[in-house]
Amino acid sequence: MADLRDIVREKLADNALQAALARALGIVRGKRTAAVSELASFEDAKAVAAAVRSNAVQRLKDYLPQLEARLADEGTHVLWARDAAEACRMIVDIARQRSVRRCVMSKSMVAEEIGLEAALKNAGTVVVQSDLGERVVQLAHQKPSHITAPCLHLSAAEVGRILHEKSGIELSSDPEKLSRAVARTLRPVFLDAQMAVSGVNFAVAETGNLVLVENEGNGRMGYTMAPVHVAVTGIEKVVGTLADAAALLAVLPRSATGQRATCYVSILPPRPFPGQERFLVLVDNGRSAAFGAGPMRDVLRCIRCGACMNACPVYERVGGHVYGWTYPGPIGIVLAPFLGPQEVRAEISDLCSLCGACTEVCPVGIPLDRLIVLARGLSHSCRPAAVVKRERSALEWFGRAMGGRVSYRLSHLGHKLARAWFPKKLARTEAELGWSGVRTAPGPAAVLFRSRFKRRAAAEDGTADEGSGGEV
Amino acid sequence: MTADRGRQRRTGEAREEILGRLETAYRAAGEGGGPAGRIAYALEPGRDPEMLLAVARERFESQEIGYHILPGFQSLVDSVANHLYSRQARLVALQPCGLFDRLDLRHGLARRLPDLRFVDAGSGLTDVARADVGITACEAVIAQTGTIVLSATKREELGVSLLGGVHFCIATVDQLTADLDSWLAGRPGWAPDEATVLISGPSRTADIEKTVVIGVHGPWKLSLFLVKE
Repeated sequence: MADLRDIVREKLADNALQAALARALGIVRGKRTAAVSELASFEDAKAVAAAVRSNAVQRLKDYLPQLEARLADEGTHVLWARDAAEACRMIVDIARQRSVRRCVMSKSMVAEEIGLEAALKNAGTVVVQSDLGERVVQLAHQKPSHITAPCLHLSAAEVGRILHEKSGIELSSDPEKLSRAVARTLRPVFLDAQMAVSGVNFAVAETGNLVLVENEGNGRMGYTMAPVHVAVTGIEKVVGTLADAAALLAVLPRSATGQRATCYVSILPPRPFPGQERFLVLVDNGRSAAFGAGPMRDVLRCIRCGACMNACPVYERVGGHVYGWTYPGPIGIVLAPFLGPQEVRAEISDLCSLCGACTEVCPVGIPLDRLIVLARGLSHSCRPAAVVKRERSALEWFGRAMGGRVSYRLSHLGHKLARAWFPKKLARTEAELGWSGVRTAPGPAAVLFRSRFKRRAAAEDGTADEGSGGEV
Repeated sequence: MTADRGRQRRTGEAREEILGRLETAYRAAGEGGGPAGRIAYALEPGRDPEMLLAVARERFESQEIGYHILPGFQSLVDSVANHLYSRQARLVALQPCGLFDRLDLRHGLARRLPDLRFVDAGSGLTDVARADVGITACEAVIAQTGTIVLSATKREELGVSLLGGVHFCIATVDQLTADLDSWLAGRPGWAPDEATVLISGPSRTADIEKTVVIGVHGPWKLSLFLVKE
């Protein structure tokens, strides 16, 4: 397995990727700001949405059976899956028993998480992704790099080349021509599909409604046209009431795509349509473990808007593939210890500068920066012992130096002297530790912070003592 | 049958295990969470019809929804016929609904546009998909988000607002409501047993370089005929 740092370097050197990320994230950030400004207060809205999700997560043990009963009474089959493999087996069984040869899939992060496309293909079912971005990455044999914009890492020219080579669409770099052409090729697929797989944004416990959010209409096409509809979702996607879902619908599109509302929100009834079978597959796959993981439980509040990765300065530079699994960005880091497959690198928790931008924009108030620190703790055991020992030792010394007035002054003096007497050696040591590899290490301050603070306080009191400065 | 029983047994075991884990963790953590409250908007049109209309119009314009405000039902059929004519529509799918029956919309349009054909009531989805224009009524119009609320019990009815290239929706001004929250508040205990679709514009994507493209899988044109009567 390649070193994560090498992968990061490769992405940083990829000019096309850098241009695609800068352009896309610049646009989506601007749109989000405008959409959020239509709320009386984003912080208040966030508090409401956080309370809705927090209550729902807390009451999962009640809401899930309530939802199941409501759906089962009306004829929707509810299936429970402990892990990805079990969920895939169940859905493959459904397809096999109905001799499904062609399945159309609309965007579903859980389907991606459990590897459903590969499982159905292995069982002999032709799977066609119908979301435009998902279709592009499917044809390119790539993975999505963003949870709401799967081909965000590709330029229009690259998309055009992929569609031309894999799907025979006329070569173009015009997004409008390409989007329409893909839609045209998919129309007969919808008409012919024997099974549709979709995700679920919210499942309403009280009424048994399944809420699906989208812009393209491919989700609607799938569940409208196919005789079998399989909705697959994580167990945490349950909310109490339709009013709860409405509160989340006020913040989800604003945070995700910077729209006040997506083009389509489907509220499906608990009873399947006449002539159609419907299944709801409730997937655990580590979610119940997250529920029992103290403060990490907050990750279950996530509504998969992707705002955290849109705001993340690290994601902006490296893109989504570096994270190496379904969920990239800050939310991917904190979900990985629970939902991630074994091969997900523990070091992805280092793909964070702890700037807190993700926490600021999260519409359901997940304290992502704090949870990333906890995730680093969880991944700590996976890091090389020598590195951990060196870091621990350095931090212990730092703690001692900062721990008392005398030791603090001595350490400052020592740093100044070392810089003056052995500048090259100090620079080399810092570079070896990785602190100054890509930045200039700052020298010690000319005036200590406590001296500056004392002088400022004295100035505010009108008792400035010019002679007290310059302490070293 | 054996496969069904096997699946039921497996899903039953999984259910008990998952709920058991949640129960154990719940006992360790205890109760939590307070009431959620309501999301407020910078611009709250309240119930004032003029304000509702003003906010809705602004939203329709920014969301590429064509709208036509008509003084009464008298002018509705003429207006719809004119728009069908200008779009050179040949085949129209009409959502079965009481309003259209009362207006005798089908015959009214047929009288004005003799060449116009209609997808027969009870036709399958493939027939609905051939229509150039789908015409529906709606349950409500939400001003805050410029959203049309539709409902349908059958897939063919849902297809009317989805499968044609153009969707015409007919509503009345008194169907305007401030936001989704207030619309739901007006329906205490509402448990929709029909599909409800909230439509806030023609289908779109921005998957390629974040360039917005209108008209993907769903209609590329959405027009709302808002009758003041």
